[in-house]
Amino acid sequence: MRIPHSVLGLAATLCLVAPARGGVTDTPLPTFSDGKAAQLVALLPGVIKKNQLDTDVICTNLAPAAVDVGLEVFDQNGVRGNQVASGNGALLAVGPGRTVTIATGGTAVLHEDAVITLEAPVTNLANGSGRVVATDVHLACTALAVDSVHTVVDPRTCPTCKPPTLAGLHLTYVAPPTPSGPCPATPSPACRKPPAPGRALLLLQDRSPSSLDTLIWKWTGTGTAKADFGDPTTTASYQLCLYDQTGGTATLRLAAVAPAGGTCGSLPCWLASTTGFQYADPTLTHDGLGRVLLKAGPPGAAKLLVQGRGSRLPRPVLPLTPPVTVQLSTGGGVCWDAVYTKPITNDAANFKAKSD
Amino acid sequence: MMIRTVARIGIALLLSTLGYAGPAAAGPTDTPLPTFSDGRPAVSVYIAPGVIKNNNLETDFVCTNLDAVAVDIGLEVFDETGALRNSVAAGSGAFLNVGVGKTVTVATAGTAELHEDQTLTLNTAGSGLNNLRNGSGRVVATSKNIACTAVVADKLHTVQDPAVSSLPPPSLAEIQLIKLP
Repeated sequence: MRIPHSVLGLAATLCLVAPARGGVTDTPLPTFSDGKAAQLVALLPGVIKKNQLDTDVICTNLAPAAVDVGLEVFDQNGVRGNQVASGNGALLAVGPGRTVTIATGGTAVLHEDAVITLEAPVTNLANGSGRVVATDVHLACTALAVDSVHTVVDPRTCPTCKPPTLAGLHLTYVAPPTPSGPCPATPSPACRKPPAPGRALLLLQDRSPSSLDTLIWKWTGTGTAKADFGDPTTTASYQLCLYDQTGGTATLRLAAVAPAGGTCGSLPCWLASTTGFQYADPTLTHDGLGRVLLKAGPPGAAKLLVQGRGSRLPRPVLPLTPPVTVQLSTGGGVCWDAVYTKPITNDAANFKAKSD
Repeated sequence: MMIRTVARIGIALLLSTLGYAGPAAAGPTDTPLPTFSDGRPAVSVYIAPGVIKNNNLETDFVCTNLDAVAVDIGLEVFDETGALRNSVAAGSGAFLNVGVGKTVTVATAGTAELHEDQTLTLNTAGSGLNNLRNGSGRVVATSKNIACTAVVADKLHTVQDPAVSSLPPPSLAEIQLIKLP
């Protein structure tokens, strides 16, 4: 079949060719100068470097290890204005918990650790955009448009000195930053699993008022000795961590902790028995957890139960994105988990599933 | 047996000298949560990147209790090294028994324009400097049911009627808080 030249000409006229890559969403992600690949952390519309305004991005590393952090800026046409790969707008090996600032220019009032030099053909950012990239997505950032030349001077000594213009800019995160607390950012790989499908139940209910919210996780599984539980009456806190696949990757959606020891109401929170431990908190003070049961036993007889309810219960927004993984663990100790690929119910108010 | 014990102690000392200890807790993620002075344990509610106390800028946190009962609310701040610079357990940055629907403000220092119920005194950990050039923060409480706003504020200027004063208004900017699940 021959295609008439007029059709080819029309197609060319209508630009039926692949669009050029550009902007914050489809420009390929860089590699840092230490050879580590960058991941997209957050998008930032409204990066401005014009008329003595600059943009500062302040980021805190929430990951458990050092990360490389970079800020890429794009002009109004989506052309990237700096090369993180060559170190322009990049800071390497930012330690856990540390905070750094990368800016489009130095300012008189804020502190900057790295200042981007715009690279040709980009010469200004009148309508700019940006993206925060890093070797780990677990960063929390704030962005400000900042007057670069003024600083705050006491009006008693300089009544005519004007303080700087400041405005907060809104970052859009690709995935929620790592929540605080003891749950790791991704599921632990080596937890004890139920011996057969259906042996672990997960129920979440999101109600209005939130005092009616409910969490139940029941697990029956592989043999567990009482010693595996540690001693929650003194030192072993227990955390329930729930992950789903929001954004296509394992994402922590719920973290609830039953701390070791302590008094719940007028009684000790944890009590030991011959086969294990039981946590009971009628006040629901700690993340809404009311009951945790740890029962040792041979395969098929070991049982775990976590129940929570009320307004203090962490509430992941339902529905969840399966597969969902629930893990119960002590810090650095044994953990138990179950995976839920096919929920029975998964809507805005309820999640109910039996384990794979 | 004696020789083995001595050898173990020697190895332990060597590892200690070489720094084989686990990483120190730092920053708003893995610093242990405090217990308020009334004995109630705190949970983490918000993370605040970009807490600034520098060049006459301060950071104010305004929080409202949305719970059905009184709650304790606290602000912890960390410097650029991740060091915790105040002690909620000792009462710095902490409010006990904030009533239902009540709002409180805690700041890195007093400002001329805003109202603060409490201001922080920084300890000498981390950088040891009396500033937060690249700070971060964590709002903690005995309930997740609180709502907060944070602003960076010029601490020296106030808004004056331009009809009677030529003094400029203060700088103000909201910083983005991250609510934890």
